[in-house]
Amino acid sequence: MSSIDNQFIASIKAFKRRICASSIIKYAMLFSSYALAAGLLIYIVSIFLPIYGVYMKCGYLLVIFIVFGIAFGIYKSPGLKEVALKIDSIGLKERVVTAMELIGDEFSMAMLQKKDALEHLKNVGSKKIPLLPDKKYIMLCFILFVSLAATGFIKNPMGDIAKMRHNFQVEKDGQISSVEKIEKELKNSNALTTEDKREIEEKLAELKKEINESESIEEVKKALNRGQKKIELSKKKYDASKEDLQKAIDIFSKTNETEKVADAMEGSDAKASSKEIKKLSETLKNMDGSSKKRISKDFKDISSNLKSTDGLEESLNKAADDIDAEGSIREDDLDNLANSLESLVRRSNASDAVKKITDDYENMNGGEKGNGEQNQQESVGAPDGGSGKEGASGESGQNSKGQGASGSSGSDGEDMTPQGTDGNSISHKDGSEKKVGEYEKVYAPENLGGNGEQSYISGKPSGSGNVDVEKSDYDNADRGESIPYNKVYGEYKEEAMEDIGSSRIPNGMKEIVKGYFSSLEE
Amino acid sequence: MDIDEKTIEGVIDTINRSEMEISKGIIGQKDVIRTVLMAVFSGGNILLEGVPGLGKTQLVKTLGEVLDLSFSRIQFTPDLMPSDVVGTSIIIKDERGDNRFEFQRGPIFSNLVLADEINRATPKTQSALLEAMQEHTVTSGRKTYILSEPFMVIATQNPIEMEGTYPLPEAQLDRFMFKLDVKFPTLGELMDIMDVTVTNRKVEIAKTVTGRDILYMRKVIRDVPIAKPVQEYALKLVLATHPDIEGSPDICKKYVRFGASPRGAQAIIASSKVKALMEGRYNVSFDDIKYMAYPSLRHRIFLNFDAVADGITADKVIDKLLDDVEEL
Repeated sequence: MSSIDNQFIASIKAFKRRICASSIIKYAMLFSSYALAAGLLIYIVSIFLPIYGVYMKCGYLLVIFIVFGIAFGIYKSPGLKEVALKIDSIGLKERVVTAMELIGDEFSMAMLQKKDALEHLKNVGSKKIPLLPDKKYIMLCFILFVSLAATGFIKNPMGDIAKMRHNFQVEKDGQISSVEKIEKELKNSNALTTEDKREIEEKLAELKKEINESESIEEVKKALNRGQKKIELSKKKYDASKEDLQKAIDIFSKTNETEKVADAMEGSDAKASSKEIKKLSETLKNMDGSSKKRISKDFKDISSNLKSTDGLEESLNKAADDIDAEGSIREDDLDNLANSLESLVRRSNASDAVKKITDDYENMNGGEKGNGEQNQQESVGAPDGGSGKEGASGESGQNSKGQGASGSSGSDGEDMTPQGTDGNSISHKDGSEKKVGEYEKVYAPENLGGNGEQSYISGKPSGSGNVDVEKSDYDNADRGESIPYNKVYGEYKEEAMEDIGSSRIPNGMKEIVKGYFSSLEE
Repeated sequence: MDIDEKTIEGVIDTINRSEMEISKGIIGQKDVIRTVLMAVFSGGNILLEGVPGLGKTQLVKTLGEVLDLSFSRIQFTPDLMPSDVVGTSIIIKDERGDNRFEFQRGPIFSNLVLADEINRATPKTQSALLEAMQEHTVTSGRKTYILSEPFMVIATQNPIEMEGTYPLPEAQLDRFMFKLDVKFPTLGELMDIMDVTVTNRKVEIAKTVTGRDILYMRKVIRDVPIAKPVQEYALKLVLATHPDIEGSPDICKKYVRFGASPRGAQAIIASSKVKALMEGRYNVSFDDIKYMAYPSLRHRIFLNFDAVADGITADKVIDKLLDDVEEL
C-alpha cells in the first residue's frame, strides 16, 4: 500500500469512530422510542386490566431498550465501505468510496483520485458527521415521552386494584420465602433426625403449596394457621422428653454423687451424660449403703415422674433394683440406662430445635398478621375503629400468664368482643355487626394457665410418698389466655369431627356441625 | 494505459476549453453544449430534437470548427436515397479509355456528419446510417469502407410538422448515445443571440483539439474509476425501465412498452466519466449518473398509447425512476 493509501485509511478511521458513535446514539434513541411506545401501550392496557407499577415497568423497559439499542448500535457499526458511503453523503460525491475501492491500485488516474479524495476528507473533517440522529427520531422520542408523562395526570381506575393484587403477591412471596428460610434452617439443624426433618419438611412444603394456591390474604392466613398447628403438634412430641430431662436434672443435681450426671444433662451433651452415668456406676462400688439407697431412690423418683415412654423408665427401675439388690448396677442394665439417658438428651435437644422452628414460624405468622391487617385496610378503604388494635407482631406474643378458670368459649361477653386481630374476614359468619378483619376471642383450653412456671410434683398414684409443692407466682384467679377464634377453631373442628365419628353427636346434628366448620373456612 | 497526471489534467483543460469555444458560437444552450461534448469525448452519436431556429445546425457546425474535424451536412428529405448518404459506384473511363466502376464517397465519409431533419427521410435512407453509426463502416456493393475516426453522427429532428415524416425506428434510436431536447432560449440568451447574429461583430472560434487528440482523450477518460455502488445504481436504473422486471416502478409497468437496452447503461456510465472530469473529479458520482440518465434513456424508453393519452413523457418516467431506485 502506498503512503496515500495509509493516510486515506487513517482519515477514514477518524470518521468511522464518529459514525459509530452516531449509530449508537441513533439506535439508542430509536429503541427508546420503542420502549416509550410500549410504555404507552402498557398504560392503555392498564386502563382495562390491572397492571401494577406501569411507570416502573416503563422505566425498566426504557433502560433495557436503551441498553439493547446501544448493543444493537455497536453490532450495527458500519464497515469501512459503509463509512465511505456515509462520508460521501455529506457532499464528497462518491470520492471516498471510489478511493476505497482503489486502495492498492497505483495507476495515474487512481493516484489522482485518491489524492483528491484525501484532500476533500481533510477539508471536510469528521465533525461534519452529525452525532445526533435525524430530527424525526428526536421528535418521536419527545412526543412519546411527553404523552407518557401526561398519563401520570390521568386517574387510572384500575390502579388501586392492581396495587392491591400486587401487595397480595408480595405478601405471598414474602411468606413463601420465610417458609423457605425455615426449611433451610431445618436442613442445617443437627438436633433433629432425618425422619423428623422429613416430617416437618413435608408440612412446610404443603404449606408453601397452599400459600401459592391462595387467592386472597385470608386464604394465606388460614394456610399459615393450619401449618402452625401442624408444626406445633410435632413439637409436642419432644416437649415431654424435655420435661423428663428437666425432672431428671432436678433430682440428680440434689445429690453430690449424681451432680456430674445432672451437669452433663444440663449441658445437653448426650455422650457426656452417658459417660457420667457409667462413671457413677463405678463410684457406686465405693459408696456406703445410705448413699446407694439415696441414688436408688433418685432413680425411682425420676422413673415415676417420666412422661415419655421410650424405655428410660424401665432402665431406671432396673438400675435402682440392681443397686438395692447388689449395691451396683449390672453391666447390661447400665448400658441400657446409659443409652436411654443419651436418647432422652437427644430428644430434648430436638425439642429445642423444633421450638426454634415454631418460634420462627410464629414470628412469621405474627408478622403476616400485622401486614395482613395493613393490606386489608388498603384494599377495603379506611376502616373504622373496630379493627387494628394489635400491632404488627401479631398475637403470638400476647399469651397471658396465669391460670384460666373457664374452658368454654364465648361465655364472657367482654372477651367475645371483636378485637380485630389479624384482618381475617370470617367474623361475619356469626351474624353480628363485626367488622371485616375482626375475630371473636375465645379461651383456648390448651393454653389455660398461660406460660407460668410449671411445678413438677413427684409421687406415686397410690397416694403415698413425698409430695413437693411449689408455689406459682401467678394468681390462681387469672382467667387464662383469651386468643382469637381463628387460632383454635381448627382444634375444635378436629375434635368435632372425631365426635361425629362416635355416637356423641346425634345423627341429625352431624351435618349441621360439619356445615358449621366448613362455613368457617370459606 | 500509462498516463501521467499532467496528461489527465491536460485532458480536463482541453474539454473545458472546447466547451468555452463552442459557447462563443452558440449562445445559451449550455447543457446541450456540455452534453454534446460528453458524447464527443465518450464516442457516441447524438440526436438533437427541437423546433426550427434554435441553433441546432449552428451547434454542429461550431463543434466541427472547434474540434478541427471534417464536417459534412446531409439534409434529409423524403426523396433522399441511401446512395446520397453513403455514396455510389459510378462508371468512369481510366487512362486506357476503358470503362470501370469507381466508388464515389458520400457525405458520410466525414468525422462529423450532420443528419439534418433525419426523420424526413424514408426508413430505407435512415437505415443507411445504421452501419456507419454503430460499426463506423460503410458497405457498398461487396466492399466495406472504414470511416475515419473519430466518427460521429449528429442528427436533428423537428418535433412539430410531423406530417410527411418517418419516425426513427427503435433500432436506429438505440444507436444514438443521447437524445437532447434543445430548449427555447431565455430572454438573456436571446439578447446575446441578437448581439452576435444581427451585428457585424465577428466571433473568433479557436480550434482546441484534433481528431487524434479526441481518440487519445477517449482512452484517458475510460480510465476514470467508477465505484461499484455507483455503477450498480446505473444498472439498476436501466433495469428498472423494463416493465416486465420485478421491482420495476409502477409508472414503467403502466406506461412503458420497452425498456432501455444495455447501450443505455453504457451511455450513462461512459458519459458520466466525461462529466466527472469536466467537473474536476476523478471519479463518477451518483449525481453524474442521475444527470446522464435523461439524455441516455429518454429515447430508449418506448412508451405505450396510455402514456401518450395521459401526457406521460419519457422524462417523467425517468424522474420517477430516479425517485424510486435507491442508490444503495
